[in-house]
Formats: sequence, C-alpha cells, structure tokens
Amino acid sequence: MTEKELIRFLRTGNRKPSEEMVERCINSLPEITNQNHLIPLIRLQAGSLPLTVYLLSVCVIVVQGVFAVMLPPIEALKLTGILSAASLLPYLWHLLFFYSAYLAEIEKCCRYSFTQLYLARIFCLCGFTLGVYLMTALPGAYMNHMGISFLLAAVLPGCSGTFFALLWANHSADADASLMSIYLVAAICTGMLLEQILKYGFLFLCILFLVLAAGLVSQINELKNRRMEYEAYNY
Amino acid sequence: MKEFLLISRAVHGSRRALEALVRMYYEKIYTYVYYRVMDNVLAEDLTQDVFVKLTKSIHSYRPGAPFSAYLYRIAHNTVVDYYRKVKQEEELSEQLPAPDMLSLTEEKLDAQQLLAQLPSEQRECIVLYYLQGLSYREISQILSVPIPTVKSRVQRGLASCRKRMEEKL
Repeated sequence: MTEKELIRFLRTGNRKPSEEMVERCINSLPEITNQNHLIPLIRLQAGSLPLTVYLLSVCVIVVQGVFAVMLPPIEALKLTGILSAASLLPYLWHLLFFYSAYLAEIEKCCRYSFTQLYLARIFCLCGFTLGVYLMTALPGAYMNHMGISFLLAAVLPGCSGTFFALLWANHSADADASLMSIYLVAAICTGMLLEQILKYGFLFLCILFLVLAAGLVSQINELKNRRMEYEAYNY
Repeated sequence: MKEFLLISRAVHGSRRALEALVRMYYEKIYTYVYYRVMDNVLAEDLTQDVFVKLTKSIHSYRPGAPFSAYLYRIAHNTVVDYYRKVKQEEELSEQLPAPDMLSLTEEKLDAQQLLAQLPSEQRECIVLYYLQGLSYREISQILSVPIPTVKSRVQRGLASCRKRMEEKL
C-alpha cells in the first residue's frame, strides 16, 4: 500500500454527525453579549496609525514653532493650515480610502462595527488636531494669540480636503493616489484662502466648519455602504 | 458568506451568524474530539462545550490568527480540562479497546479502528493533519508543541498505520 492510498484510507475515518446533534448543540448555546468598550477601541485606533503620522506631527509642531515667531500672524496661519492638512495626509490615507487600509479594516471589523470604527477615528483626529494646537500654543509661541482661529486653521483645510476627496471617491473608485491628490489640492486651496475666510468672521467660519463636518459624515456613510457592497459581492 | 463576515457578525451579537459558524465547524470539531476520547456520547457533549466556550469567548479572538486554529485550541483545552477534571486520562486509555481486540477480530480493517490503535498523541496529530487538513504550524500552535514534534508524531503514526495495514493484508 502506497502512502497516498494509506492517507486516502485514513481520511475515510471522518466522523459524520447527525443533524440532530448539530441542532442540539445550537439550541444549547448561550446568547452572545457585546463587550465592546470605547477605551480599547481608541487604543486600537491609535496603535494602528502608521509611524509617518507621528513623525509628521512632530515635524509640523517644530516647523510651526519656528515660523510662528518669524512670520506675520496671517502668513503663519496659512502655513499652519497647509502643514496640518499635509500632516493629516498619511493619516487619512491609512483611514479613509478603499485599498490601502482594506486588510486592516477587515481585521478590525471582526471586533467592532464600522460605525464604531469611524467614530473612534474621528475622535482620534480631533485629539490629534487638539494635541498639535496645544503643543504650538506653548508660552513664547506667537501663534497662541490667534486663539480659536488657529484651531480652525488646523482643522479646516484637512476637513475640506477630505470632503472633496470623498466627493470624488463616490463617483470614482480610482486608485488612492488620485483621491489623495484631490485631497491635497483642496487642502492647499483652503489653506491659501484662510485669510479671505477669516475676513468674513468667526461665525462664518463656524458655519463653514459645521457644513463640512455634516457633509463629511454623510459622505462617510456613502463610502460605508459602498464598502459593504464590495465586501459582500467581491469576497 | 465569507468566514470573516460571519465572525464579525457573530461578535456583534448575530445569532444566525453564530449558528452558521457552528454548522460550518461542527463536523470537524466533533471528529477531532471523538478521536481524543473515542466515545460517541462523550464526544458530542464535549463538542457542545467547545461551542458554548466559543460563544462566551468569541470577543477574545484575535482577527489576525486563523479562526479554525482558535477553535481547535478551544477544543484541545476542553478535552484536556475534561481529563484533568475526572483524573481518568490514564485509566481511560486503559479502558480503550486494545488494538488487537479492535481490529484483528474484523475481517475488514476500518479507518476508525486503525486510528484507534494509535497512541493518543500520534492519533491527535494524524487526525488534525490528514483528516482536518491543518498545517504543521497550526497544529503546533493548537497543541503547544514544537513543529518538529508534530512532524515526528505524524510520521510515526503513519508508519504505525502502514505496519498494521501490512500485517492485516
């Protein structure tokens, strides 16, 4: 008897349970309790960020610290906005788009729902932005006089860039590179226009920010639906 | 539906996804447990325990690892716990039908009888490798033994089976 024949013979030893046994087993199972907590999820999100995000944020803080002293406030504000948007680039690349984060998504989706993931990511994004702001508002930095405007300058280019990139993503599932170039162009344009935007006042800025945030949430929802279809029909 | 989607839904409380996972893996786990205890009723009870444990601990599953290996690990631990609890491992192996009694009385040698004649450790590795189709690495993770040990157990078990078959033929 050859080895192949022996193995084929051994494989006939598989046990075939009856349908009743399976049903009995299923009926005996307890209910599943959902034990997802916020803190482990945030930790998971923060831990899954690529190293480039952390390195770039350190660079942004250093560069902002230097230019805040050298440049007039409004120029420094533009620079702050563009730099913050650039620093968010690898973060968004990792988080928002289809292919680059796909496997990581699946892994995490095994534990958490898609909505939970995005909420945690938005939380991380806010924490990240606020962290950069607080670091640059250190005593002696000229930038801290800009107050809330500075915070908006840090957030607005990133938000608008993301918004336009997501708008594009809903019409085309092209490579990440094209999406990120849309993001960059939109973020830089918003950064350059910050001076004009600021002229319309604080209220206008807040309304603009809220509109962008609402648009962002709705676009994320669209992307979420697309991704679910993608998972359901292609895998 | 793909396995990872089922796991994802089961983790989020979907009873139907959990049932689908049970149906998907019941036969494999039952076969594995049966060849550890060599008793139909006991194997059914322990298989049920395995899936109850899975339901309770599915949150601790790390998505990077293969789900089947995770489930076999639970099954392995369940059997070990069982033997530890009743403190009968040695007695049970003595109670198993002796090799000669099992097959040599039969004209036709059955694969189950052939496997039953193997020492417990070799039988476990043979079942996981040939019947369940797991890799050496996965088996070593499930049993917490080095890969070379798994390989040698499989080879020795196979050699032993061949010898028995040749004797019978």
